Amino acid sequence: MWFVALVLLLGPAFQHTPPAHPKKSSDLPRTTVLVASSAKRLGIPFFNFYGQAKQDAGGNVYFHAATRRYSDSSIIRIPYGDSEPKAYSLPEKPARETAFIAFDVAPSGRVYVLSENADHRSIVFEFGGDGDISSRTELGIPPSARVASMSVFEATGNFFVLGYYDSSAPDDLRGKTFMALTSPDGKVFRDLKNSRAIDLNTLGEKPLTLCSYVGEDGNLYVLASDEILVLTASGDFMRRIKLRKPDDAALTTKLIVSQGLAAVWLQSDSAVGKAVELTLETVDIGTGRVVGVYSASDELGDNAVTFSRSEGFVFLRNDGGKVSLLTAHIR
Amino acid sequence: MRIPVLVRTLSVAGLILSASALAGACGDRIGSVQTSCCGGRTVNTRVCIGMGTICADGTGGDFFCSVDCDLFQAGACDQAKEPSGSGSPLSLIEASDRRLIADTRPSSSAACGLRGEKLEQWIRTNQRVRQ
Repeated sequence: MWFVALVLLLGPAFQHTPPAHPKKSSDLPRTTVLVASSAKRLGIPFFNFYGQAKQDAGGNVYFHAATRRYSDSSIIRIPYGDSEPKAYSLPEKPARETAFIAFDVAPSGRVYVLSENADHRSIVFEFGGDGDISSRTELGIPPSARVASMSVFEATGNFFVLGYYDSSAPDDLRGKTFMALTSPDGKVFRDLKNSRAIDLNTLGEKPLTLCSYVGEDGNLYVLASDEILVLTASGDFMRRIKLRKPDDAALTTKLIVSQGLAAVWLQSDSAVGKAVELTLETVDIGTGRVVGVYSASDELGDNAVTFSRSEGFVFLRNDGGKVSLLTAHIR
Repeated sequence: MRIPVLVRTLSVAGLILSASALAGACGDRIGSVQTSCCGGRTVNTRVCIGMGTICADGTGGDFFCSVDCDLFQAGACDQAKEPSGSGSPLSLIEASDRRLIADTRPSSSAACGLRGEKLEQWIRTNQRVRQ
């Protein structure tokens, strides 16, 4: 029975088709232009990275480094304090035999890389604080399930994976979204099936709007194109927060929840190879009210990498070839 | 599925090295799109993900992400154009429905940020030496 209820509840969450004519929500707060409240230039050469950055509880920021191959599982940690940057890479053999898919960082700073091998089996490598691999876990998810996002529950060691079934899946699953919780040993203990699908035909044209985040409250937040789903750590549905965006056609690409406030990254629907226009939005996860809508000043740039309610957004800038972190308070 | 055709040429000689690299030919994993940071700007890039993404002509599936980034940086870092420090100069031509024509040269300029081989070198120097 719970399964049927979940299907009905989660069903509309992953509709991928944007409205034909973008429209603006009229009752949103005015857009505030964020400005830098502090800046810190680090002695680290600026580098390119793939996808979205992650953060730990200490404010350190982690990136999937733009090495020659996207499939390289190379993660760079930029310190919030004055410590040195750190790099995490797989040893030669697993590096050669696997390809990067996604990564997550626990509040403690432990790094988890999800990769897949030639048989399309999903494998999670955990890096300890010293940068060495402390565990290797094969997830029991079907090879046809393409993972787009992974979140780690540090308290339990469970994993949440979010993605979709690709064209190799059986007819009844092909294109359907895939969500599952696994135990620390990789066994799926909850398959959160839902009836909605993404359009496999547009995968090469727009970013996937599938993202998840484990909050400080231990709950799981799943970002879809038009809403945030709140689930317990065991996968029970709690509530749905409908997103209201300045532009309904904007794509949702990242979510961070901090002290009751969800920060959502919105980007313009631009073409591949083009710079995107960033808008940020904060939402009260208790009431669903949009607290603020933000754009970034030229000084901040468009690389918002972390968020916390107390500090605001942190932006990464290329300052004469060196990494610079700029903080923008939201008050 | 609409997949662009990329033709990689050696711009100096104008010689086509790889006849074509269809994303659809990248094994059984088709490219998806995600934002990446190229030279300090956030750019939509297309990547093929997974071990099955080696194209028939030997180029990696993640070739596309580099291509997108190169194209962007060619525009964003014109002043930094220089002979490649990390690979051959590229010319990129995309199929008729979404043509991109550019003469891009992977730049080692600080303004464009470390990436590719130079970033790998930097990572190695900042990493614990493992046995």
